[in-house]
Amino acid sequence: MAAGEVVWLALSDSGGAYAEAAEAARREIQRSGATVEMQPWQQLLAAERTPPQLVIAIGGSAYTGLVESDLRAPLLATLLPRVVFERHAERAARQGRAASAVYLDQPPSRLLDLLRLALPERRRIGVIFGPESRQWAPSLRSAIAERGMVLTSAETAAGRSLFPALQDLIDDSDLLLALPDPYVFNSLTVQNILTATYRRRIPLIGYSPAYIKAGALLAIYSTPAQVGAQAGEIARAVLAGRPLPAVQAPREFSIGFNADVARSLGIAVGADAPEKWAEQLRLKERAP
Amino acid sequence: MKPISLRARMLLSTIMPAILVALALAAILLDRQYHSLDEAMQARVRADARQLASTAEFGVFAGNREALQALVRAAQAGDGGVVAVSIYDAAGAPLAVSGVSTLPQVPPVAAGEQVFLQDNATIAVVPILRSPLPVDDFYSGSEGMGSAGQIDGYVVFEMSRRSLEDERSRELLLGVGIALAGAFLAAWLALSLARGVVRPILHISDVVDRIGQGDTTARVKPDAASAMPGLEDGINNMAQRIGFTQEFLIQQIEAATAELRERKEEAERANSAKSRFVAAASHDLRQPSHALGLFVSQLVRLPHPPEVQPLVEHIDASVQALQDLLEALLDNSRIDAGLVVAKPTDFPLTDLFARLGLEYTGPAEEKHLDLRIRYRDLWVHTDPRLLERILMNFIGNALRYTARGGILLASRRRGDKVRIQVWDTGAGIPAEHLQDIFSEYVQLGNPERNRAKGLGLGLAICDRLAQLLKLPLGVVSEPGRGSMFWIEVPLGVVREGKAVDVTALTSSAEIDGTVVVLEGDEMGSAGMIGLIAGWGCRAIGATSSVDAMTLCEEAGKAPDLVITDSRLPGGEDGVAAGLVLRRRYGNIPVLILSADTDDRLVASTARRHFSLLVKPVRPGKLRATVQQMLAERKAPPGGDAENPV
Repeated sequence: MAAGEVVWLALSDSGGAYAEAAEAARREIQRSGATVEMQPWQQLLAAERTPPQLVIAIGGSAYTGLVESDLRAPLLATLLPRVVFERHAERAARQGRAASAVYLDQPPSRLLDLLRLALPERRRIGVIFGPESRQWAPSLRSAIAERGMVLTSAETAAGRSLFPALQDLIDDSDLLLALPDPYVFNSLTVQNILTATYRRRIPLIGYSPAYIKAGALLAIYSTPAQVGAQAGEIARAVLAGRPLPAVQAPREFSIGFNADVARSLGIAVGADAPEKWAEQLRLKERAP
Repeated sequence: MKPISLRARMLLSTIMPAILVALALAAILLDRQYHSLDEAMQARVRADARQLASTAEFGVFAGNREALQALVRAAQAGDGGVVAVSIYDAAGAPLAVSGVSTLPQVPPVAAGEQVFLQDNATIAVVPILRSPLPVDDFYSGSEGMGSAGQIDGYVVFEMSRRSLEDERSRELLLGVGIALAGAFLAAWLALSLARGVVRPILHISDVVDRIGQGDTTARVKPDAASAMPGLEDGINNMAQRIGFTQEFLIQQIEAATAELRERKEEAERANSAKSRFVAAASHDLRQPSHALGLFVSQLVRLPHPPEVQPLVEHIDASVQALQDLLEALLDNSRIDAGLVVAKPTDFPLTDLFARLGLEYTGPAEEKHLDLRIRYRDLWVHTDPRLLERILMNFIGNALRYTARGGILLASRRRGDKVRIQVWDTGAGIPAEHLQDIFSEYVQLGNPERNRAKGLGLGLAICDRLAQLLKLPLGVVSEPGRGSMFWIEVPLGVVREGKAVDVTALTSSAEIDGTVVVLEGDEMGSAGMIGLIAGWGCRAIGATSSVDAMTLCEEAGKAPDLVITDSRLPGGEDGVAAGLVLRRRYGNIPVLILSADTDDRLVASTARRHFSLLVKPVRPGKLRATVQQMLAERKAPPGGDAENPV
């Protein structure tokens, strides 16, 4: 058993989504009897404590802060996009630290399958690649092509106006798929992107619940609790003596759907459709 | 400088602060209004610019100049006061402009909002901010990047201040209007206040004036609106007290006056009683005094042994003094008793002077004094009896106090007045006594009260008679050289009638004629007959008219003159007897002697042209009268009868 062992839950910030994810992870870890220290990462580093067997970073800031610290305990990151993890993965490897992640990005297959289920008529998939997301373009393009759809893409760079790329893209697309890239989609750009797509009467597909609220038609995402629990399971396995696994996509997910936007765009969807889509996706993923 | 009236002062003191307050309030309100208008305009411009910035966000994000141009045009068209609206990008390059900007160049672009004034325009510069939309940062990896507003451009909103200035002018007009209205209201209030204060004060002042003029019944009418009830009450209380005091004093004075009047009336009653007593007694005194005078006069004319002669002269002087005193006393008492009434008439001074000459030539000769009379043909208007009485007193007085020299009776015309003067060469009167000598019982140079020098009543009687006649009299005197008494009478109207031939009148002239004497009193009759006979006349004494006629028959003589007492034995009356004898012997003169002096007798004798003398008649007087009447019989009279006292 793992009694007497210590796991740190280092939060980017106290409260909110971080607390929700951490709480889910703690519930999993405590089933092993290990001690859980759950605090914002700065506080955990500041105090003289017994070094833990495992550190779980909740959020990108916590992960970045821990990578740059002197702590050498194995590091598991969660509640962060894959680009953020990979930004520092190399450094962690150089230090010889074991590091892995349960990131928030949905696997492209899941995303594209959902699109086929929800919007089978919209086959031209518009994507704006930014500096962080550019690397996924080839794999995404092939996955789209596999499903009989077309990727229409545009690229933008930091410091350049987003609108010309957007302008070019949305004229040739049936929908705009948002991928996590802080240089493209952030709180200051989303409003204008949404306005632009709405004017072109094409839906925006988001990657978090906030997009649904802001006016995106559809979003597929994993909640903090889902990724937190997944990280907790990994922690138990690690405490049980297994090695730290490779980075993984979130296993569980949720689908958000904005019926008002659907109505505005003239898309007829039944009230229970999102749940059915989720069920179908799960069935497909569990299939051998 | 003219003093400001109470009303004006009150008006000023009330209006001035009100006007100042109104002006200050108007100024403050205007200032505030100006500020608030300014602020409101700035706020409006800022709000308009913000709204435009928000609306233009996507246009700027999209670089859609057409859309932005439409926006700025619409923004300018929406408000007439908007001069220009422009949108600039973050670098300051213009994206859309509407209207003519008052800005000479691109506005200074800075962070945050700016509102400033330029060339009659209020200008707002508002940044166009990317509106942040919270997305779950941990999904996108923008965790910690923050969402600080990104400035995409600027909206410049320029609004004309003309509407503001118009609004200010309206506010100014309104402010001035309110100040004026306030001033008028203050003036109206001040006027009503002033009425409330000034009117009571004027009323109080009026009442005080009236009290000052002696009207102690004046009261301040209580005025409910008055601001000074205390003062009004005070004035009323004061007036009431003054009134009480005055009333008390008046009562005191009235009481004292009443007492004085009572005393005076008491004194007058006593005096009147005395006078009545003297008047009553006079009749009884006159008769024997008259007779005594006649006897003594007769006695003096008789030859006496040398040792008796001085005795007889003393008796004569004493009797004369006695008669003078009696006469004066009786005259005085008659004036006191109000029995003397002035009856003015026109008469010639010559007659009066002639009678006085006759009467006083004898006494003057006896004192070896030269009595001269300067006759002038003047008529005067006054009561002849009373004037004669006054002159007799003057002359008697002069005789009494003049030891040697002479006495002059003269008249002098002064305008419509005649001044009659009696000069003497006597002792004169010291200046300090000139006023006293007309008082009763004052005698100068007679401290031993020598009765021969009179009773001191003469001049007092003169004074009282002159007052009765309303004639001025006076005296001029130089001690040691003599005195001049005068009286001034009005000039009279000349009437027809012959003046007495004064040259014929001399005291020493012989008298010739038959005189009937009717007298009931034996002594009086005897005295009279003896006296008249002594003058060389034939005297026939009788006691009635019938008796007289019988005796005249017996004597074979018709009477030339009848002297009769007013009352005769057997109830016959002297006037009636005179008439009987006149009928019998033709128009003979009749002289009535009377101890009574009632007016009916005077009127009765005057009507019949009888002469009248009041007893005691002094022998000199009687002789003068008889002589005159006999002379007139020879030259029949045409004038009025004498009116002796």
